[in-house]
Amino acid sequence: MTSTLRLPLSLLFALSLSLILAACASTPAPVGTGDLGVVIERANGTVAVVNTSSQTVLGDIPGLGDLSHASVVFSRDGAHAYVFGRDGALTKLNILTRQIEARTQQAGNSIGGAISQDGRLVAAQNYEPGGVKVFDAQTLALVADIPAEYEAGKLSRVVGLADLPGHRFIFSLFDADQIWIADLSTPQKPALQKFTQIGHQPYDALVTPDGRYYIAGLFGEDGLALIDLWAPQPQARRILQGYGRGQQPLPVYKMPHLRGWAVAGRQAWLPAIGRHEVLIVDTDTWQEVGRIPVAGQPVFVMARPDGRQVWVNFAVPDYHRVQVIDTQSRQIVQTLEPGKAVLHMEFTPRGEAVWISSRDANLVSVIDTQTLQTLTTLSLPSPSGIFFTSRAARMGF
Amino acid sequence: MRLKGGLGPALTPEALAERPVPALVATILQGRTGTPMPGWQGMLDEQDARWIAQQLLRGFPEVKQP
Repeated sequence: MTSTLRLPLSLLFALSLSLILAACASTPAPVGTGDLGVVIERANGTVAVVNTSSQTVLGDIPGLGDLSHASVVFSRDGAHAYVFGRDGALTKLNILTRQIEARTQQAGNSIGGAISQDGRLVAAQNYEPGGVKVFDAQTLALVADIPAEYEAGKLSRVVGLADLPGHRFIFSLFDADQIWIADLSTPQKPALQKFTQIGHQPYDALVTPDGRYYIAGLFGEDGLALIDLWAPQPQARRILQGYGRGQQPLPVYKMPHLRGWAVAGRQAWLPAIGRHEVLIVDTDTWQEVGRIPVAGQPVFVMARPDGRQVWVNFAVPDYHRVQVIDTQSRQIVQTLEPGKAVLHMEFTPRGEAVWISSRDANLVSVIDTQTLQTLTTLSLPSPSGIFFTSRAARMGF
Repeated sequence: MRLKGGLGPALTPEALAERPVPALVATILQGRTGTPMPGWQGMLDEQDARWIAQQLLRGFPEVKQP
């Protein structure tokens, strides 16, 4: 230190300038985030950063805890991924630098989250303690805590959380048969609107791409709950009552996920619970207009971004298959077998390709949605959820 | 994977300590009415279920991972 102090000031300045220049020279050229994404490696608490143009893995971000059921939302600049871990940790990643920027152990058991329309608030839906917590998207500082208390001292597990226009989040209470909307216009004082007796055991939900309808799947009864959020006085009503879960429900080996909704044109494509069927619903009348027999119990029923195809994966024991439905003919055009234990599918922003994770095959397949040929496969240990930054621009994602 | 539960209860050795093996076997094969726990008898026989029950009580290897 003392020798440094004896250096002439001008020399010191020149030295530090050259250091800065050297640092700049080694910094990679700025890149965009539009073709980036992440893949959850569920067994080792790691997220892989991927590029959908080069179809490569760019690197890993380890140290994220229990990712056995994890989901991700993106900041609107597409540079930050918020990872919601099963163990209740919420982690903010910079996917360009591949660094953890913030992390909070916000609950004991968590199931996913959402980001507000303006990108300022991140909300987590929790099983334990049951409720929603809202965080500052920059710092992950707690902004609001919304316990899902439906009776004195009783907290419901929360599912189906989604963002709505304005500073609002909508979610379902599995144990209380309710749907709540939290308005965080004044973040410290969330205003709650509650819909009760919406149907038994809502297990997951979706918001239509326009933000107009919220649909909750019901585990405990035959049908779904629907709210028209554009109505002057929104109300919850049942749709598809008696679609066939039936008096003696079939065993459900894995809960379907509605979050990867499939609204294609004026039809919504939904997984039937227990049954080997995909249901087609007219989004004007909310009447069933068809059903398609499929290879197993559907888990994800996802529309290609243009709505021309719907892709379906399945619960055990049919989880090595993926089926592709042509939405015009309503025919299954292909049954693929990308690998054992298919857990998730994600379309590239414009849908020319789909990425499919096969947990037990330890690979992610990149498949051309036109030719249905596999373009490449990536080796990743126990891959599960795949999330691309194009989600940043979509409501309900 | 850590068997700490989610929509269902935890399946750690501690959580199951009070439950006899036959009760666990029955739950695995027949499910629990009114809950998301399905009966697995379409896919597993009693021997499979017994093995799973015993492993759960012992703690599957994965539970011990950090």
